[in-house]
Amino acid sequence: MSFISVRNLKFSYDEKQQLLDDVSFDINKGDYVAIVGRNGSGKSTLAKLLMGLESADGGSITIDGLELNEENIKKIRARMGIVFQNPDNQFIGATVRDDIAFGLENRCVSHEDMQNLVDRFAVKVGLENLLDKEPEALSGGQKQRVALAGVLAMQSDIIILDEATSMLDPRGRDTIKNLVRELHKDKSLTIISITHDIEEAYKADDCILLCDGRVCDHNKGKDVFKDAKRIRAIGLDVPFVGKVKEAFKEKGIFLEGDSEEEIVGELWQYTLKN
Amino acid sequence: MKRFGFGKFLPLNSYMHTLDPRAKLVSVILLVISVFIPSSFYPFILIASLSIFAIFLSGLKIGFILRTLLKPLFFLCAFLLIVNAISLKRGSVVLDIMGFEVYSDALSFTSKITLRLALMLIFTTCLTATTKPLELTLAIEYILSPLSIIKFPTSDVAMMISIALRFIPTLSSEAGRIINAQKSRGVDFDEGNIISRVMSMLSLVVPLFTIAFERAYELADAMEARGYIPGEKRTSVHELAFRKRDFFLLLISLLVLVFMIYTR
Amino acid sequence: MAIHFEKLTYIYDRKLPFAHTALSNIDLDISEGKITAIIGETGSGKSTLVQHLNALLIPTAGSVDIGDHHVGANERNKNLKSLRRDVGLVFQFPEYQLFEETILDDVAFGPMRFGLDKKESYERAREALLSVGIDEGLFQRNPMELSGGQKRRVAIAGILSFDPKVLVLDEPTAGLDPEGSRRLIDLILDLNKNQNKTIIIVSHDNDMVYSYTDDTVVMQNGRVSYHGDTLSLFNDSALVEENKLLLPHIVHFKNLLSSRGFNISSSARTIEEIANEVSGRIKG
Repeated sequence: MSFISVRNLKFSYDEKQQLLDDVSFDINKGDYVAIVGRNGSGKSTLAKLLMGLESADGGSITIDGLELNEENIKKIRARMGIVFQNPDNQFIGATVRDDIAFGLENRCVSHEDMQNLVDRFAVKVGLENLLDKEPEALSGGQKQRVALAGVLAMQSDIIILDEATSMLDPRGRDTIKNLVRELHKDKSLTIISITHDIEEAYKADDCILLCDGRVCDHNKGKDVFKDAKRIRAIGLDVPFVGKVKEAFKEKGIFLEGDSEEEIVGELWQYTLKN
Repeated sequence: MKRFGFGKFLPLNSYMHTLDPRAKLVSVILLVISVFIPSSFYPFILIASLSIFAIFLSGLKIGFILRTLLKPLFFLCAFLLIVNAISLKRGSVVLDIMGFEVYSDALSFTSKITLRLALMLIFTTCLTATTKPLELTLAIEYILSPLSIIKFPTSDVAMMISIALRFIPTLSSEAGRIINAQKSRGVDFDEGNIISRVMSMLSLVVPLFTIAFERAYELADAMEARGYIPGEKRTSVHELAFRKRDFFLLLISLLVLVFMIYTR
Repeated sequence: MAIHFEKLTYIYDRKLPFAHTALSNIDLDISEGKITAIIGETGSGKSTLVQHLNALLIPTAGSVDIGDHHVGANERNKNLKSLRRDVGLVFQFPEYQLFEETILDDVAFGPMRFGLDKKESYERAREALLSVGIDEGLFQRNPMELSGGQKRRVAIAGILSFDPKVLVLDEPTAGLDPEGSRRLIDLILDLNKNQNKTIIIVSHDNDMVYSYTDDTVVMQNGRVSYHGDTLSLFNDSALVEENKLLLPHIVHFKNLLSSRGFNISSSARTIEEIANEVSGRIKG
C-alpha cells in the first residue's frame, strides 16, 4: 500500500457536469508531485478532497494506511497542511506571529511550546524579523511564507500547495519555489504541488495530468509533456522546450533533448554534420 | 488617510500602554459609571484631576484632547444650554437678557452634563489610544467568558471580531481599487441625481460584497484545514498576565466608584 | 495621442510623517500608436505612473500631457471626465469591477456615464462584446455565471465600449489560461494595428513584453532607468543586468545558441523566427 492512495475518486458540484470521474493515483512518501490540468479540470477540488474539506461522491482516499473519513479526519489532518492560492484569504491572524500560531492554538498547544514553534518556523521561512507585522504591510510572497510556516509549525509531513504561487509576482514566485525545494531536500516532506506553472511541471520528477475528470497521464514531467499536440488539445500550454522542438520539427529537424542546453548541443551537432 | 482622531490606537510608549487591557477596560467601565452617578460639584474635582493624570499617563497631550474631543462637545454644550435655559426655571436668576430670565439650575445642569460627557470621552480615549484593537477584543472575550455558562459563544464571537478587525485595512484598500476602476469608466461619485448616485454606490458595494463572500468561503476552508472547530477549546498565543500595577489601577477605579456612591 | 510627462513627482501622504515619494522628476515621452511596456519591480512606481494617465492621481509636482489634455500640480485641472474617456485604464483582475445584473448592462454602463445616450451605449456595448469574443447568447446572463476568462473579457469590453484612444492594461493576462492569454494578446494587437490605439501594458511577464511590445520603459525606485526599443533592451546583457531584469525565455535561448556559434539576428522575437534562422544555417 503506497503512502497516499487515491482510488476511483468521483466528484461533482452539480448534476450537469461530472468534475472528477475516476481519479486514481499513488504517491510515495517523500515524493514531490506536480498536478496539472487546465482551468476547470478539478485540480483545486482534488486538493480540497485530499484535505477532507469536501467529501467525494465515490471512491476512496487513503493516507498512510488510514482511510479518509469522518472518523479519521482529525488524525489525518494532523499530518497534512495546505497553502491556498490567495495570500490574503488564508491569513487569519492579526500579525505574522498570530497567524503562524493559529493552527497551534486550535490544537491547544501550551503557550510556551507555541512561542518556541512560532519562532523556530519563522526562522525557517526567513521571517523572524517580521513577526509583529500586520498582513497589510506584507507582500504576497511574504504572506505565502507565513502560510508555509503555519503548516510546518503543525509538524505536517504532507504539504499540499494549491496554486500557491499563481497570484505572486516573479520575485515572490521564485522565493516560494526555492523555499519549497529547500524544505523538500531531505525528503522528510511529501509535497503535492497543484500548479499552473508549466515549466515547473515539466521539470518535475513526478507529474500527474488531469483531463476529462481523470488521470490521463502520470509520469516524469518530461514524458507527460512529450506530445505537444495532445497537451494543446487538453488546453494547456506547451513548455518552452516543447515549443522549440515543434518549431524545428516544422523545418524538418528532429530534436530529442529534454532541456534547452541539450537541444542547443544537438543543433550544434547538426552543423558538424553539414 | 490616517488621522489621529477619537478611538484610534496610537503606537506610543506610555505607562498606560503597558497595562493589561482587561484591567484598563474594567477600570474605564467603573470610572464611566462613577462619572454618571448623581452628585454635587465637588466630587467631580477628584475625577477631573484623575482624568488629567490619566491623559499624562497615556502619553497624550492636553492640547490634543482639547482640540479633537472637546470641540464637538462645545457645540453640544451650547445647544444644551439653550434648551435648558428655556425649560429649567428653578434656582436663582443668574442672567437677564431683555426680559428672558436664565436660572442657575439651567447653568449647573448643563455644566454637569457637559463635564460628565467630557470625562467619559477622556477616559475612553485613554483606553483606545493605549490599547490595540486586538487586545481590546481579548479583554472583551475574557470579561464575557462567564457567559459561556449560558451557552453564549464568547470565543466564537471574539474570533469573528478579530477576523473582522484583521480585514478592515484589506477591505479598505480593495474599496479604493474598485473606486479607481469605476472612476476609470466615468463614474463620478460626487455628481449626479439620486438614481445615478445609487448606481455609483452599487458599482462599489456589489464588487465589495462579491469579494467578501468569496473571501468568507476561502477563509472557512483555511480555518477548517488548520483544525479550527467553532466552540471547541483553544489556547492563545497571547498571554495576558496581571501585574501589581493592574491591580492598583482596578483598586483606584473601584475606590472612585465607592467614593462617588458614598457622596451622593 | 502622444503622452508627455514633465518633471512628474508624486508623493503619497505628503503631509504625514511617513510620506513616500513614489515618483521623482519623471521626464518621459510615450509614442503615439505604439505598444509600450512599463516594467519594474513591485514598488518601483509603475502603478503610480499609470494612474496619472487618467488623472486618478494628480501630480504633486510637474505635469502630464495626453494629447490636448493637461494635468498639472497645483493647477485647476478641470474636465477630467473627458480625459478619462480618452484614456481607458484596465486594472489587474478587472472582472472585480462587474456589478450590473447582465453583461450587456455592465458594458453599456461606461458609455452612459460618459454621456452617450442609452441607444448608442447599448449599440457600442454589443459591438465591444462581440469584438472580445463574447457572443450574443450570453448578453443577458449575469456576470457571476461566467468563467474567469469570460469575465475578464467582459470587463475589458466595458472599457472598449467607450472607445478610448489610449488603452492602459495592468497585467492583462494574469491568471488566464493559455487560450485566454492568446486571445487577449490578439485583441490587443488588433486594437493597435487596425484601430491605431496607443497601448500601454504594465507587466511582470517579460516573455510577453519581449514578443509583443515596441518600446519598454523600465522603472526603478520611482525613476525611469530605461526608455527605448524593447528588443534593444533585452538583447543587451549589460542593460538587462543594470536594470535587474528577468531574462525572457527566448533571449536566454538565443544566448545559448550564440554561445555555440549560432548568431541569431537581434530582431528575432519568436521561436519560429529563431528556428527559421537556425535551420537556414544548418542546411547551408
